Amino acid sequence: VKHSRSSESTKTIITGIPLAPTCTVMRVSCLISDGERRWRDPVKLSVKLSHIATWALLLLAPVEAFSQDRWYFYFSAGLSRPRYDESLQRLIDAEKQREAVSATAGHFDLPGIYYRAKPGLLIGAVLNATFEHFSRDWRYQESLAFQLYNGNFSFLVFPGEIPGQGFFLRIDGGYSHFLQIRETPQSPYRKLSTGLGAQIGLGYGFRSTEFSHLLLHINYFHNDFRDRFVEGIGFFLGFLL
Amino acid sequence: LRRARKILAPIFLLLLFFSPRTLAEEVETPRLFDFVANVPGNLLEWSRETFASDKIAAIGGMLGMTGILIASDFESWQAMRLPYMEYDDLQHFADWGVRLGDGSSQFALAGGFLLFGALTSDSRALRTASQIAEAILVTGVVVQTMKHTTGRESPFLSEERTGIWRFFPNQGEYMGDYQKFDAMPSGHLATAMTTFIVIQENYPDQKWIPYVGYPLVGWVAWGLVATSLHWWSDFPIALSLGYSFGKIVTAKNSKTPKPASKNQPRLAPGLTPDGHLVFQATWNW
Repeated sequence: VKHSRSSESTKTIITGIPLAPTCTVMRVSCLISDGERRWRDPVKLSVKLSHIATWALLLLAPVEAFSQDRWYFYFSAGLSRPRYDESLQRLIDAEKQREAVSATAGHFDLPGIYYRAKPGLLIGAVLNATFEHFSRDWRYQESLAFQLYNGNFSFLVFPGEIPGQGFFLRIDGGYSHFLQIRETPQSPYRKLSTGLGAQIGLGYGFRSTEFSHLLLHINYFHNDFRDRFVEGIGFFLGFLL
Repeated sequence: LRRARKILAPIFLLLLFFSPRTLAEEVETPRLFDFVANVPGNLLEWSRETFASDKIAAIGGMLGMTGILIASDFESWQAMRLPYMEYDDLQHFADWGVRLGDGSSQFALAGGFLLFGALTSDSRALRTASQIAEAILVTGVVVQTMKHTTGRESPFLSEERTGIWRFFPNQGEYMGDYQKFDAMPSGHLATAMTTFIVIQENYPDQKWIPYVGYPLVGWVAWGLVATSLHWWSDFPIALSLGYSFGKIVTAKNSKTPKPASKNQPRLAPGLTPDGHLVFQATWNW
């Protein structure tokens, strides 16, 4: 394609090769038809939606957090020993008899985005995940895993009115997905439960760099799925940017 | 044609996003071997900045987070590994993430900036190319020193739940089977992060860079865990190194962009009146 254009002060010469949109469109349509079956499966759909939500948050959070003074971005990691209802505990006990390791659960805020509504009050949304996995070794492909995904509204209250500094209170509440995975050499079996979750935490924060605060906190969390529950106390360390 | 397209695609993207449409910073064109000659100075600056009393909280927090992640590494790795093994599309997605961080992408990007800078006499692009190479080189020195010291197993070879640490391993054994020793810290993520920071610092007027850069770094990290090459705990130190060296290497850049002058040739993509996407060359007078 060749064109030329002239105006009062600019002359532009254009030359190039157009892209081939047909191939791209065909590829995309193949992907969609291949994925249709998965979209009908509620478990797979939830996992996919969780991933999409996580990536959407990851995409938006850091930029918003850095670009405006009133926006904050929080990520953290934590450890806990959760307590489960009787039916889940029976599964864990059966695993323990097969020498499975009773693991420490790992927690992640992935991430949290907060808006400073008042000097000491941050309001936001947090996507957090908890992972626990019972097996001696990954090579056996015989394991029991629990994964908890929460989408929460979250409040951080700093009585000292400086976000990130001094004692603070954290209150979260929202919906919760609990995924129970039994890994076998054939294929994994998954069971998804949906319910409500809440957590409350107390902690202390101090300035770590010019742009970040280090927060240490202890959270109590409870997730209810009608026929089952997960609860516990976790220790968390995170950065508020 | 396919090979030519592969080479032309990154250059096209660079032209699309980095063409000096509105602002051109007057920068000194880097000398050929600046990216090597600056390494000792960068290392000195990094040690001066890192081991300072005002960094105790930040370093303590980073090490604390690494410790917490180590304690739950097996659980968090398995949570990524199981879906990776099960879903083909996730496998491809994770593999692309790993490829994005394997160094060749960063050097291809640096090569693209170099070519673009040479074609358009754009000093800022040339400086970006030189600084990407410089940041990767200096990050690599520290990352490799740490890898050769910590000797941590990668997940897919792990003999214990969170991998065995063989501090100060025999260097002959290391070279013979390096993946049994080189998990901590992640070189992929450190170089991806430092490349992103260098580009961001060189193009502060391009507001879209963080929107793309942070998710790409996250994508590389997730891919590395899903493909069982790294643990999550390998990342805080890697990110910190990448960020620090990106900032140190670009610290001497001028922060005051100046408007572009006339009589400056410009190459950029554009649209023809009938809607074709094409390269265009423009000369203002």
